[in-house]
This record gives sequence, C-alpha cells and structure tokens, in this order.
Amino acid sequence: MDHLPGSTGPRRNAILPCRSRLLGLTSQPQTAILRAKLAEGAMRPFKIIAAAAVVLAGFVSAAPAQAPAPAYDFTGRTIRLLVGNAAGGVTDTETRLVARHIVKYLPGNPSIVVQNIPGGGGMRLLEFMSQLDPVREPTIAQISSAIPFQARAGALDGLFDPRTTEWIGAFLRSTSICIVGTRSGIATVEDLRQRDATFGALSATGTTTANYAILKRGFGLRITPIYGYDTVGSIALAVARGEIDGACGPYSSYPVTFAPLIESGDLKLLLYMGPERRDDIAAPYAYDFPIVEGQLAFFEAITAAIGFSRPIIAPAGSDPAFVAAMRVAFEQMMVDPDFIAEAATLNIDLRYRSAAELAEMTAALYATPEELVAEIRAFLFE
Amino acid sequence: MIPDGFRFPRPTREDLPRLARLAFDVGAIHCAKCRDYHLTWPYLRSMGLNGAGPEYNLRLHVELLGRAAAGRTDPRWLLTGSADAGVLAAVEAAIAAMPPANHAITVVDRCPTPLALCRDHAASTGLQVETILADLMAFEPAAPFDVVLGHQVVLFFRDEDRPALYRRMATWLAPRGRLCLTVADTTPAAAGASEYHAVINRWRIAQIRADVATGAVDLPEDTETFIGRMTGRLERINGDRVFGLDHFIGQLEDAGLSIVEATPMPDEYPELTITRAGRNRHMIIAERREA
Repeated sequence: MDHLPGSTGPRRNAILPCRSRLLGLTSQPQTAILRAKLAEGAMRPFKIIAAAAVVLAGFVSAAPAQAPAPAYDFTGRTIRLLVGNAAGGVTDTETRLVARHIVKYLPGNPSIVVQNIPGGGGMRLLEFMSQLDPVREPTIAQISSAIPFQARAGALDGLFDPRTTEWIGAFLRSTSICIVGTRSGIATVEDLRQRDATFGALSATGTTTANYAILKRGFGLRITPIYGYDTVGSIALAVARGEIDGACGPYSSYPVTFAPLIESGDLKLLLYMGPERRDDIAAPYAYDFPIVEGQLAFFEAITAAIGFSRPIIAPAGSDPAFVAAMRVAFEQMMVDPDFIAEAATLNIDLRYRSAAELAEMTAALYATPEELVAEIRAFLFE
Repeated sequence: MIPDGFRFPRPTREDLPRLARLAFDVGAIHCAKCRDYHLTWPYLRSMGLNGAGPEYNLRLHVELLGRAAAGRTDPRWLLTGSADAGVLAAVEAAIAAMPPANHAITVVDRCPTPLALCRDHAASTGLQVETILADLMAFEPAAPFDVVLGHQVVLFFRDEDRPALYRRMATWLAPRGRLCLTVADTTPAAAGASEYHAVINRWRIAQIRADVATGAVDLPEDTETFIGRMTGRLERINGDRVFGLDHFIGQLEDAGLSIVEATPMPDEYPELTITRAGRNRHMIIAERREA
C-alpha cells in the first residue's frame, strides 16, 4: 500500500482537519439543564462522571435553546419506537433503554412500545414508516447512522430525506471496536495490511460497513465484508468458529458479546475507531494509523457521513407539537441520572446531539461534493 | 448436444455477478482443496454455463420442498452443504410459494465461502439465515429441523461413509420432519457421466472465451487460468463407482429412515440430450422411522 511519503508511524496530523467536523464542535455553550442537575448534586459523580463528561461535550455543540414545550396531549396514547434491528441485539438494547427513560418526560403518562423491524440495513423500517400516518400514529424511530448518507447518495428512493425528517436527537458516542478470530492467524493490524481477511457485517449499508470502508481504503487494511448477519452476537460467534476472520462492532457490545470470547481465547481485540481517543480500551486507535496517500478527502467525507450516532427521528409530517415535546423529553432524558447510570451498566457510551446539531450535520452532508458522494456510494453499495 | 450459444436460464433472485466476485474474494482467503470449485462455480452459474444447480429443476424443487414443509408452523430448514447461494435461493423460491409463515433457515457447510455467499444473498433479500461452519459429521444442531435438505451433498462423501451421515441426518429431524436428498444415479443405464463432463466442458470453454472476448464477463483472472480451474475443479471422491437409486434408498432405510417418495427430476431442457444422459437425478424424501 502507498502511504504518505515519509510516514513510518502514527501521523495524527493527517486527520486533524476532520476532527472538529466529526465532533460537530462549535463554540456555543449550552445547556442549562445539565448544569442545573450537576449543581443540585442530582447525579452520582462516582458512577457517571465519564458519561457526564461525554454528555457535556455534546451539549457544548448543541442547538439554540429549545422553545418551551408546546402542548401535546399524550394522555392515553401509545407511541411507537421503531428500531431496524433484531430484538436482543446491541442496537435493540440501546433503543429499549431510551424507551424506558424518555417516557418519564412525556406528559400524560403515555406508553412507548418498541417495535423491531429488522432487514435490509434499515430499509424495511423506512418502508414501514413511510406507510404510516404520522399524525394519527405518533411514531419515533431509531435509524442507522448510515441512513442519512444513503439518502444523500440517492439510494433510498424517496423513503427518507434527512432534510425533511424531524430529528429528535442522538445519544451515542460512536466508538467501534474491531476483533479478529484466533483461528484467523491474524495477530496485528500489520497482518491485515499483508493478507486478505473476511469481516462480518449486518448489512451492506450500515455503519459497520462504512467503518470497513474507512479501514480498507483509508488505512489500507485488506478487508472483505461479508453481509447478512442478524446481530453482532451472531457475527462474533461466526468469527470464533472461523467462518469469518474478524468483525467490528459498537463498543457497547464489548462486555456482553466480545469480552467472553476474548477471555476464552477465541477472539482477540485488534483496534478501536471513532471520533474520540479513549484511554479505557487497550488496543491501537485506528485514527492514529497513516492514511493511504490520496484518500484523506474520502476518509473525511465518509467519517462525517456516519457521524449521526444512533439518531432518533419522527417521520416528516409529524405533528409539530409532538416533535417539540419529544425533543424536550429527549434532552431531559439525556441528563436523567437513572438513564445515565443504566447506560453505564450496559456499557452504552452516551453523547448527546440535539436536533439542531443533526440538522447542521445534514446540511454539511448535503454540501459534500457530488463526486465524493458518488465515490463513497460506489465503494459502499456497488 | 448443446446448441451453439445456448445458456441455462438463471431464474433465482440471486445477484450472480456480484456473488461470483464475492466467491472469488472469499474463496481466495478461506478455501483450500475446494478453492477451484468455489471460485469458478458461481461464475459458471452467472454466465449460464452450469446445468447442475438447483435452478435447473427450480419448479420441481419448489413443488417438492413445498410438499416436504407442508403443514408446518414456522418451518425450520437446514441446508446441508451448498456450493454457493443457489440452494438457498431455491428454498427461498419454495418459501415464496407457501402460505405466509416465519421460516428459519440454517445453512451448514465446512467451507466459509458458500456461507458468505448465503449471508450476502440473505442480506440483499431480507431472508433470515443462520450460517454454521461445521463438518456434517461433527455438526450438532441446538434444535431439530422440519426439513433437512442435501442437494448433491452425498457426492462429497465416500460411499462407505454415507450410512453414518444418514444416521446423523435422521437425528436432526423434528417429529415428522423430512429429509430431502437429491442424488445422481450413475449406473450404466443412466450413464454417460464422463462423456457429459467432457462435452459440457468443451462447450463451457468456448462460451467463456466468447464472453471474455465480447466483454460480457469480467473474469477476475487470466482466462486460461480460470478455465484451468474450472476443468479441474471437481473433487471426485468416488471416482467412477456406480450407484443406482436403489443403492441410495437401501442405505437410507438401513439408517432408520422411511422413504416417502423418490421423484425423478426430469430434464427441463429436452433439447440438451447430453445433460440428460449425465445427470439422471432424483429427489428422495424420507422421514425418520419411529421405533
């Protein structure tokens, strides 16, 4: 592989220009709610200090102050929270966490029912949602982080438009870890530059696949994605059995899905990736690797494209009062100590992004040059 | 003989050019003895040069598999061995013709390459498929299956090992579950296997060269290297040994199975006499004989 001339090791400067965009950082301080909670001592610092810091990082970049919640009568209503992944998986677990806690902030004591609509990398969910009457059937959905880019690339056939959807917020810091199977014979990242390997993924259009594109094209790792697994857990088992060589998955899946197989000697932690460096993962940070010469623009564009970590949306055409109330509830949930504590026990790494911030990211996505979008699309989907 | 320019149809929902490329990538990583077979098979199907896949008798597969799974609630399918995603696609076609139900499909193979192709096909069609890397002689399913399908899988076992395989397969069946095996009768009466392979390979080589010349196919390697793989690809475990339908049925019965039906899979392309001579196939449907 051709790397940048003279690069013999980590070359972090190569990616610095994109970091601020990945983080979505601006200089607008916010939010009163978190500060007030911290001042009240309502949060248990010894348990949630790391999570609070992450949440705070998100609030630093957040949107203009929310308007007071308009009246929306949730009384007697059942709100659907759709998720495009199978029940029992990591994403499903995260979504159910949101369902359990956001409901506390919806006036009128409504019910929230999580509905799994797996398949097609989120396409089935979008198809289902497109057939709803969003006013009569108030619905929110947790969509894949890669969906906005798919829409930008024209791959969704009008099923979803991030410019017209009603963003509610996003809640996850998108750290991913990558593991390899002991049977694969791969021990180091360098091995993956020297030989080909198969890595599992849920779908050809998901975040994991975009991560493989980053590793493959940005860093020169010789990964062939194998699509079609239903959960990260089934991918991990396939790696352990030797059916595929490795996998990447959300960090939140580490304790339950990967750690036992690492402890048993079936898997090995290879690297981690995501917009922020972490001290608590004992593996190389992918974004320290030298970027393959000529791939910086591709790298920046694709990392930005998948930055919508675990976004929650309401369909375009939803009742504005419903949308506003959901946004306020989402923001309140993100600083709820019980939510933060339960997220910590599930190893879910919180990072708040407001609706306004997601809208800004959408605008940036649509400002990406067409030729770069076409290049990413070809790499991911064709 | 095979008419000039003839191509077998490709009636399944598979994206065969894509799967062929994937097979080449994955097979180069994971295959050992089976490499030439797995690298070329999907390309041959993609080019319409393979008359041995389940699509060759797709309508009959749909009918027979539909019968085997009839009356089941949320059928559980086990596909034992698969050259690529072709058998899965045949099951998919059978499922599409059945009343709506939640079908659970498991594919088991000793090689990762066909499993990767099944995964990829499932991802593109929304099928829920589990893949398990295991040798059939060591496979221990967690739960029994309503239909266990083996499309030509017995080809890859020595005849003396087949009774043990059938006994294992019998244990994988749920109550009233059905074992569906396609087998080829290689008795002299069915005859012509060697002649079949020689003739069909000559035809394939000519078509491959023509397709490369016209740009109809983009092979991932030099044409003659690919042709070399294709002609040497088959793992002929049983050599020229002769096995008639009665032989298979006898082995299955000895393994504790009762034969429900043994249906000839007739040639859907009567103009291709050479293929009929070489592949006199049956699907045997059996169930476990209760003690």
